[in-house]
Amino acid sequence: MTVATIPPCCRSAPPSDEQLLTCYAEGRRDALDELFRRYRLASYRVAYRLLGHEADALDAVQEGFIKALTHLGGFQGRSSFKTWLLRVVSNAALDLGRQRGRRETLSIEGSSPRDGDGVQPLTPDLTALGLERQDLRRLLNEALATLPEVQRRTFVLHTDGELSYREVAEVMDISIGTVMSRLYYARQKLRTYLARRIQL
Amino acid sequence: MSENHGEQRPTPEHLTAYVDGELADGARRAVEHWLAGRPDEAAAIEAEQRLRQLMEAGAASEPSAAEWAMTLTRIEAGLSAGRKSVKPTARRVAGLLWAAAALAASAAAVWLVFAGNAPPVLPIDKIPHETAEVEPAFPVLLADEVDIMTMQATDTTALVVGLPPVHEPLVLAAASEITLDRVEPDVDGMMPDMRWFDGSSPPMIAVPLAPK
Repeated sequence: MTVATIPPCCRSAPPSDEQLLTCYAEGRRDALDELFRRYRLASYRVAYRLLGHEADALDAVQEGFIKALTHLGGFQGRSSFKTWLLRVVSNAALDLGRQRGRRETLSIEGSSPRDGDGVQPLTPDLTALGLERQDLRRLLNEALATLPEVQRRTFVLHTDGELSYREVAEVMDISIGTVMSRLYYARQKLRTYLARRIQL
Repeated sequence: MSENHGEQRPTPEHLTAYVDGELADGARRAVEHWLAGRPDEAAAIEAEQRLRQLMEAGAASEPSAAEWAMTLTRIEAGLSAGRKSVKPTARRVAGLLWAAAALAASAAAVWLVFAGNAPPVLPIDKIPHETAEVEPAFPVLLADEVDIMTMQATDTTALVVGLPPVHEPLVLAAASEITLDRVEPDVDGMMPDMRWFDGSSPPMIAVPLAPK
């Protein structure tokens, strides 16, 4: 009879992030798989909004995971792994954007729709706006590009990273009040920009 | 948040929390009361609430399973390469040096001429035990291969100057032992802001250039 031994750190179901990190430190590959599965989409959405380009966003996710796990000493459990990861991913995305030039990447966006994009139904509101999904993404990317970097990052971490005010504050080393204030002005600018192009 | 706004405009923080549905009942009613007589403001708030839906509808499509698998493979390869290049016990020491090397490399090409005798280099067997596990071949990276995760104020007192590749042992020198011959702009034309502080002598690690 074969008995599989499960390390104590991963016996609970589902294991916490802290337990997975312990398993990862012990060399368990499946712990990395699970951490990746949990946070890959949030990381990707944040990176995509900051870069405006799908392939670059995947590169930023890759860089972010490597750096976040390599530099776990900087994490030290002071915040959740998700906030630490999104901090590193968003830094990686902004660095990548600076290297490659955001305007250049924005011009590429929309030229290579993913499978299913053309048939994915829009919400009734979007249909009423007469927008295709690709057009909407391009429009939103253009709108986001008008924001100062700190406002854009704050807005994206909250909206696409689904981080709370407190978590965004931790990621950016600012107060919760500053997060809320940045969100207010970011939304105001986005609304003004979009209102000239579509009926919000 | 629980404030009675009356005729006073709610703060940006209150309006943000209202848009996100994060206000407690009392504060929410106060904002609603304020909005009731201001159709323009109410329309703006509604537009911002619809903006949330719009962002959701325009979110990036999830990559395919194959793209995720490829990304995970690259992450594993990157983590594995990182483990091989730097031993865990050396990572803390090397990390600071890498960060400093990146700063120097990205700021400018700096050519150095030693004004006096360089301090003696410690033989490898005389290096204190704490650093003896650092791999003999000091890793030198290009600026774009390094990401500075954090930098403490105390880190800025150490400076690594030079350009890869390194063909000779690193030497420690005080600022007074180094003469700056010239500073050249970086590839992007940026000139570093050079400051020399009177009375201070930050430790420097001089990287000998490759022989021409």
